[in-house]
Parts: sequence; structure tokens; C-alpha cells
Amino acid sequence: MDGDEFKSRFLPFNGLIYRISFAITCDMQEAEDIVQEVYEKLWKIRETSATVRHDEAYIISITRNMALDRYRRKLNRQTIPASSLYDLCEEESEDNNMEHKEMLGNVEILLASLPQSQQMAMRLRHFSDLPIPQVAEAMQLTQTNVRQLLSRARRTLKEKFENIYAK
Amino acid sequence: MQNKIEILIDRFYKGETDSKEEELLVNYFTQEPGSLQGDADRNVIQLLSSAKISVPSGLESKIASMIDRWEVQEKKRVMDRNRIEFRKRIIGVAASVLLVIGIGFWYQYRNVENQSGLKETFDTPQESQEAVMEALQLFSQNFSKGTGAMEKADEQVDKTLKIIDQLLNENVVNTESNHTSQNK
Repeated sequence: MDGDEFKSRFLPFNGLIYRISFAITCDMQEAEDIVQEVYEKLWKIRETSATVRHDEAYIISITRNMALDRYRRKLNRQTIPASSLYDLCEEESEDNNMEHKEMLGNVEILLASLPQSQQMAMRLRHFSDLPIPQVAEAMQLTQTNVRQLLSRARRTLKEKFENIYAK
Repeated sequence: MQNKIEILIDRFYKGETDSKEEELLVNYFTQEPGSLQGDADRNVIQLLSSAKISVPSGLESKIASMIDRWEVQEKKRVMDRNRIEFRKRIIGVAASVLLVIGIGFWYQYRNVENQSGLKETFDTPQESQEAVMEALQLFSQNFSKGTGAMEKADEQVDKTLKIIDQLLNENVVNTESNHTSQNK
């Protein structure tokens, strides 16, 4: 498989890889690094990966594993409190749109109180804008399970706003 | 319309909406005038829709150029490997040829060494002369040995003949003396 063939087959997935990586690491630079790593791996195994039937599922799988590895390594290095994911995003974000960062931060603060699986489902669906089937693939869950996680998370967020306005 | 939105909001909280339906909700809350204050649904949907991340614009071209670089590097590696393989092959062939030539030379040299005693000609007249002299000398020595032995044998024969002569003379003398005594 030459470069052009490889590009036409795998390059369209760069956005998906980036979105999943970002949803897991909450770090734009890390997400870009993971995209490069994933493509490096795909390049190395491109002859054997010719037999892979579902490129998308395969790419989501290796992206998830790489992103989780990096995220865990980072957590071990920095010992980040679970509630301060927003700080991590704010510190290392290259996004100059402060309003967007503030919004992202607000959501992160709200999400931080949710269970990890609900947070991940919400990030993948709403931050990374992935459709339910891809969220399910990235989380290795069924679509029904993902819908349940999203449902609980959305209801909890609504309750939080209602509580704010009730005061 | 309002009823449809309410159904969609209900499904949204149940986790049943798909991407298009959620987009409809976002559009509704963005376009429809209203305050965030006191409206939990509007807050949730607008907050979530505004948190969408965008993929960096240069990412695809960055990856594309990386792939081009890898391809060039890989082609270079393959070419280097082929060149090394070719060199190895050439060295192998050269070594084999040298070995064959070496064996050929050694074999021929050994035959020449074996045949050197049967050499018929000499390169220089001096060598030829020396060889002739040596051969003649050898012949002379052996011939001398032969003649020496012959001389010894000749002497022995002479001695024997002398003894025989002596004995014959003695017999003749004895017979003559007997004849004279009988006649007397």
C-alpha cells in the first residue's frame, strides 16, 4: 500500500481520532500527539491491516487504548484531582476563544460531579460530537447502554440548573 | 411546533434523540427568543452545544505531510537494503571466482612442480651447461665405480692364473724327474 492509497483510506479518520483522543485526555496537544501516534501505527501495520474489515472500529479501538494509556501516564505524573479536569483543559488549551474555554470549563465543572462513565459518554457525544454508534464503539458498550448513560447525565445536569434557579 | 419541541426535549432526556434531532433542538433554542434565566432545558442544551470542540484546521495536512515523509524514508530504507544486498551478492560472486581461480592456480602449480624433473629445456645456456656437466659427472662417477670393480676382478683373475701356472709348472717338474729316475 503506497502513500496515496494509505491517505485515501485512513486520512478521513483524522477528525474522529482527534475527537476521541480529546474526549479522553481533555488536552488538545495530547490529542494531536495521539493522532500522530495512531497514524504511525497504522502506517507500520498497513500491509497486515489490509485484512481489517472495519477500519473505523479498528481505528476507534487503537485510539481509545492509546489515549487511555497517555491519560493514565499523565494522571500518574501530575496526580490531578478528579474535579479539576477543567484546570487541565484551561492550562494547556491552545484555543484563544476565552468564551469557548469558559463554556467548556463550566460544562466540565458540572460534569465533574458525574460518574466517570457518564462523563465520558457526554464528552464523546457533546464535546467531540460523535454519533451514538461511535460513542458506543469508543466506550466498548452497547448503544442502549450509552443512551442510558447520556439520559442519566442530562437529567442530572438539568436538576443542577433547576436547583440553582430554585435557590 | 412547540409540541414537537417538547417531545424532542423529552426524548433528549431519555437519551433517545439522534444527532439530527439534537441539532433541531439546538437551532430552536438559538433562534427562539428567550432567557436562560429559569429555563433549565435551554441552559443544558445551549451549554452542551457550545462545548463542541473543533478539529485543528492544519491537522489533516500535517498528517498528510508526515505520511509523505514516512514514505520517502521507507523507500530510502528499501533502496539502502537492496544496495547492501546487491553488494553482498557481488562480494559473494567475487569471492567464489577468486576461490575457483585460486584452486586452479594451486592445482596447476602443483602439476608443474611434479613435472619439473621431466623438464626438457632450460631457460639459459648456463643452466643447460651446468645440467649437462652434472649429468656427465654423475655418469663419470658411476662409471669409475664400475671400472674399479672390474680392475679388482681382473687382479683376482690374474692371481688365479698365476697360481694355476705355478701348479702346472710344479707338476711338469715332478714328472720329468720321475722319468729320469726310471731311465737310470
